[in-house]
Amino acid sequence: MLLPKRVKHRKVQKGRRRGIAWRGCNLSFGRYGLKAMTCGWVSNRQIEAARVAVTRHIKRGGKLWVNIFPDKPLTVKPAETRMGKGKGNPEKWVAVVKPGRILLELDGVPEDIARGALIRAAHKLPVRTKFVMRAEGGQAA
Amino acid sequence: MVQQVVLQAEPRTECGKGPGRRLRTNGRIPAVVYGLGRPPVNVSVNVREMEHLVGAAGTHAIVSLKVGDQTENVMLQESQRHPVTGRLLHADFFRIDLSKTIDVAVPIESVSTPVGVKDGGLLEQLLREIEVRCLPLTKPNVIRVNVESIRIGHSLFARDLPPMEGIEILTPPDTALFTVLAPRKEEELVAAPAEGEVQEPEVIGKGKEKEEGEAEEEEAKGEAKKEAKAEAKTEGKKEGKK
Repeated sequence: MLLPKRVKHRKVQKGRRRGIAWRGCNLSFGRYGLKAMTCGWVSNRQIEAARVAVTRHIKRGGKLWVNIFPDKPLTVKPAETRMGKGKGNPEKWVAVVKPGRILLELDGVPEDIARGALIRAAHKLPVRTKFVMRAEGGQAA
Repeated sequence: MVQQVVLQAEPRTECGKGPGRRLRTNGRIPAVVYGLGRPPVNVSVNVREMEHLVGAAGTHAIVSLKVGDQTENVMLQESQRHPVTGRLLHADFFRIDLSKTIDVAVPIESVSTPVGVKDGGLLEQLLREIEVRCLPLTKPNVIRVNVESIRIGHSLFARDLPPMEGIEILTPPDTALFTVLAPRKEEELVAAPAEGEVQEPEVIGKGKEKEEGEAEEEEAKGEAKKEAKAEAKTEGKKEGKK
């Protein structure tokens, strides 16, 4: 599963997800893509599940790009622990996703297969998504 | 050959967030016209006409822009879209001289199925647009490239494009445009997700790591002492009861 090799800090603050994604909001590699319509934290397990769902649906052909990377550690306190005594231990890694962000890109398959594959991937993700494709002339619609 | 589209624009005096939003709610978008050493002019255009223009003539359309009484030959330099809704927000028009060549990016598309794909390979398009130099009215909307000859593991480069009349390709000749990748094995396709404990990445800064390590050791020692004390207390109580 995806996780950083080296980090500056083991634990980070929660942060807020304000606004929309002005970067990473256009198709860069593939002809089809999955665009986030709401914000959320997508964990590395969810990314992996989405990737497997797409790969199983497209079978052999096609190429998939994962445009998000889980670089934010989430900590959890152990069960039946009283409050205090410091922050919990890192449990999972998440990618911060804002509305407009392209999550996955796909190429090399017909549109109906790409649509089916990306809808299956969308079911594995905690954000609302939309299927997008590159229009004639290269521009993403 | 490009058909020059006529677009009606109205000059605007107000700039900024508020007037821009008012324009967009009224079905128009702010735009700017600049280039050829003349001062820039702020205009507004109908959003439906702009959508039609982008859809029909592509991202760098050659336009005859009517601003009030004047008509200017311009190229659609850039169009900004909203990241979520995808609606047009703003357009940049670049003044051009129809008698002089321009450097412009033209989208490329593949035509026909490569030999490598018939053998089970995957066609990948590495570049979506190429830079060309041509007269504005000879600019093609899209360049269609015949990729039939590409075999598995081979690529089609910019130097392989057939010469086109009146169009000079500026993209470096050794730039790969299309390639056919070898098919992947099924084992590679679906790798089993790793189960078990969350792996921890290396923390940058060894001094801090040591400190953290020491702190953890101290914590562990402290906990062990507490436990020992608690046990001693419970045992003492039991003995007292006896």
